[in-house]
Amino acid sequence: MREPQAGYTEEFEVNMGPQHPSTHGVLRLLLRMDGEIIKNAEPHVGYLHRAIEKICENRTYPQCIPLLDRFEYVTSMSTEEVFCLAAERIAAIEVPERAEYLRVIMLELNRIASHLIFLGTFSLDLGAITPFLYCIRERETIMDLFEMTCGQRLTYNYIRVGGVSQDIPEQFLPLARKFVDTFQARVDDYEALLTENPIFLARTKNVGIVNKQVCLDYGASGPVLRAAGVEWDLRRDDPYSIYDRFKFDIPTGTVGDVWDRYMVRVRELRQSNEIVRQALDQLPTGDIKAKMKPLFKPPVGEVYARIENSRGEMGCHIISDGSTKPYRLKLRGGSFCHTQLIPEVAPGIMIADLVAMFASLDVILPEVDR
Amino acid sequence: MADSGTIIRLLVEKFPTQVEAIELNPKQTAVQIDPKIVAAFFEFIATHPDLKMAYLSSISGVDMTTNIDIVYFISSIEYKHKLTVRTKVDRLGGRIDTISTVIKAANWFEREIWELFGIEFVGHPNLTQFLLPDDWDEEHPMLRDWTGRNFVKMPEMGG
Amino acid sequence: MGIISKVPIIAEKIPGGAIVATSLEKVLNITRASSLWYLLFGTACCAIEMMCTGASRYDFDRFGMFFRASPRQADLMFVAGTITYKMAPRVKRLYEQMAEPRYVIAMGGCACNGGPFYYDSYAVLKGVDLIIPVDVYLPGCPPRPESLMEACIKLQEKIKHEKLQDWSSDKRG
Repeated sequence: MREPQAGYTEEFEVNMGPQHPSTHGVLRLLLRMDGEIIKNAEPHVGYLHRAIEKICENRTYPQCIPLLDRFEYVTSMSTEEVFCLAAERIAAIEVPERAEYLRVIMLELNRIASHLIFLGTFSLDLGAITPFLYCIRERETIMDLFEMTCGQRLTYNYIRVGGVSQDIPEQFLPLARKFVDTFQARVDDYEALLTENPIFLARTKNVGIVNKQVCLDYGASGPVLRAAGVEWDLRRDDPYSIYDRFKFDIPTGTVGDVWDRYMVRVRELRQSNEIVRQALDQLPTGDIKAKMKPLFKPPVGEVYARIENSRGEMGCHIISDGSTKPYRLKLRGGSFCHTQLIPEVAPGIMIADLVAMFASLDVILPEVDR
Repeated sequence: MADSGTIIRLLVEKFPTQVEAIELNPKQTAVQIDPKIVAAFFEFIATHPDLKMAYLSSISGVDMTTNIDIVYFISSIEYKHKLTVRTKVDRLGGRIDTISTVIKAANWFEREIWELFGIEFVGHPNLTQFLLPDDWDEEHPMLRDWTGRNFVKMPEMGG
Repeated sequence: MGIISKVPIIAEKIPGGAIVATSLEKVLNITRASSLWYLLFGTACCAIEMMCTGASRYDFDRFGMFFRASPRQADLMFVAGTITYKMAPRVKRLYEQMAEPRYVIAMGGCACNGGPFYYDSYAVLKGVDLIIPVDVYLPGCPPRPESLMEACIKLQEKIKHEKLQDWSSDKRG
């Protein structure tokens, strides 16, 4: 047996396993540690690989949509939107005005709901339980809005190729306006709990820095890229739908630490609220679905459509061979690239800071595994 | 910002015999390249001052039954233009150079294509088990003619 | 189970002892059913609904249910989400780590029988009851928080009908 010497440590491996309260899903991080400092972090994924792409090769286009809801369940509306955008580009379908406005309202409400889940689970990981309960309270109002429109709280099957499936009921507009009017004050509540809290600042400032070069090398997108100082938002830089009709700011950070990623998302909550308000004011009357044949059969083609999801760039590559089923459907989520950059950023930080950094990247495992 | 015609012109000037422009539906800037020059191609478009395309969106593998197509989607943050790059490799035992030395984001995309389609990426630092279980022994499941032990195909419904 | 498992054997021999044992059984069952601690384990969409059920509007704490991160401290496991072949051995290991008496609720279509991923998927386990014993099956995709609460109430009723003799013979898996 070795004689213990003062200050001697040995490296050891720790498994932050598939079941862990802080891994936000089934991710396994194999950490090689020297005391509290991490020397190497290797992500092992695939615990939620459900073969969605293989299943969709044997489903018609409308049948793919409920499956794609389960691909990114926190923002299901975005997944449906990117798929329908790609299919509409191949078939050159024009979506009616009212359907476009309804899509934008649902997408932005979904973005707010997703950022509220981020805020709640992020503060839970740092040890603060109250913000979680406040955020879920607001999110329940948004779930009520979705439920009265399409009947579901989480996986909607609402946005279809050519438009949306149902029109909003009459109770939707008053409740939505009430939500939009009171939401700014709620975001002030969340900020009062966290933003100036000295414990929160000590745990997040200059911790887990993902700088601009790492982001661009690894294809990071969304709030992670914006927190590093790059002003890139697909709603403005690769425009889709009718986002050019709304006025909104694009918040950015400076350093790319955990604090910047938190602040970018809190400011995005306010901006999304503004977009919903403008869309509710401009909502026209009209059809909610384009005139199409009952069996959707697009011509031969290939396209990659991308949208700005709350987690980053969400892309959908469809190859159509002229039949009712897609020949190949490939999905890409922002979390795929963010999990890839963990081995680059983790060495040298302590394990408690790794929890904070990983929570701030806001990774959802089905986007990685499909 | 370079428009579609300028991008294609610059690429064809640099690689006259190995790059050609192709037409896709819907209209987009797309080229078909020879698989042997794939690393040099991506090095060129990342460093050329008028192109500066180093922001990788996705790499997909497609089983076309006679061969496998690999499709790259790449864009530029400075100039906001984008490009679709297609190339063909053999179906069983196909090999192509990796681009993860040029663009680090390609690492996991290529690893996934190796695991699910069976294409070997020469020079890739880490071609190991990724999405499938550790004891997987049933070949590459995304190939179109694949079946396995517990694979239940959906029965055809009328019409 | 220590001294409790010897109670039915001792009580049989005393006149009127069987009634004592039955009342003791009732009390113990009510206390166990009113304080089920569940393991924080969710893989996919149903995990979000489980989180929402434990949070503001639909509160689990009023049933005495509280989440624990370690399987050694939990006596209920919600299998919430799709289980793949890669994840299946880990689920079994978590189940084996829980102390008896332990219960499992299969939440959602995927845990019941594979759900929407039954056909054409090469990596999904078609139902979690292929690897661990399940007490309550809860269909839905995802089930509403009210359904989840009803499943917990059904489980509580099941616990209240358990017999003290079963503890000593260690019938529970």
